[in-house]
Amino acid sequence: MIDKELLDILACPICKSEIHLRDDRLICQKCRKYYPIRDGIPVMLIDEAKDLK
Amino acid sequence: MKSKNHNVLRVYRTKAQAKESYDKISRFYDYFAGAFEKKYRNMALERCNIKRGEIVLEIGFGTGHCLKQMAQSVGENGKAYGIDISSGMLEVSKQRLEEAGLLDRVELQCEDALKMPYKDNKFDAVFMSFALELFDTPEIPKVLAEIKRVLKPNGRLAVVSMSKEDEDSILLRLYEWTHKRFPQYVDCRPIYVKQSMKDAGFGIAHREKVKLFGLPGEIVICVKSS
Repeated sequence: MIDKELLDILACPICKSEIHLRDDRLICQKCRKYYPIRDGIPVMLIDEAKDLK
Repeated sequence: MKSKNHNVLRVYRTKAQAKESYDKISRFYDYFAGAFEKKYRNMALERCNIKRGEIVLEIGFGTGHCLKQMAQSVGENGKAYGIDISSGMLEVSKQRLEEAGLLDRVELQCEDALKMPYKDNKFDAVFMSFALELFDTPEIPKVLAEIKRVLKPNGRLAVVSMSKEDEDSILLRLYEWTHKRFPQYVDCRPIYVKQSMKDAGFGIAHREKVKLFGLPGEIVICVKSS
């Protein structure tokens, strides 16, 4: 699980704005993209970002 | 002084190659590079003076020796973050931190330092041990700008790196030749450490020259002015 402290410091690597946790994904509303969480570790690589539907 | 950078060698391997080779050597890294780096990374950590309760970040944590010390220094109320491009290194570090019982105050991630997923003004200190010289020449100012962005005002950056400052040594030239000839094995190369940090707009708080088995090195502590 991602703790609150980590969520508070994390930002979208593309636009650096706030990200939100939803259904085990980290979402950037501004870029309309999401980042996966694997083994409890957020994978915030631009190559791994997927488009929100 | 900026023009001096044309003397700095380029990095002749891609990031994907770097990730692959560091993944491969992660289990053995300490046996050959570890001993070479230990003394100076400890010196740099000491100069960085990490205090209890601080939020700190290491870029390129490798096998996690420094991150362990950083996690001890910040104490229970602080937090040590670490990013590395190699997932193999992440596994090795995770194990080390788990054995030390420090995992609860550490966050490890596989990231590219050029595009850090952190908000502005979040860290009290950023630490880089033999990592800045792994970035290609045009990337170095970008990495430093990114570090400046995530540091709090008055936050400090500590770097220990191979240095090109004392240019004329046969050993250094031999090293640079090896870097050009065997980029996949010798991927770091000497850079202008203090000057790069100055160019990025940091204030220099401390700088010392060291010798790394005869090769010139620099330890520089700089500050993001508020």
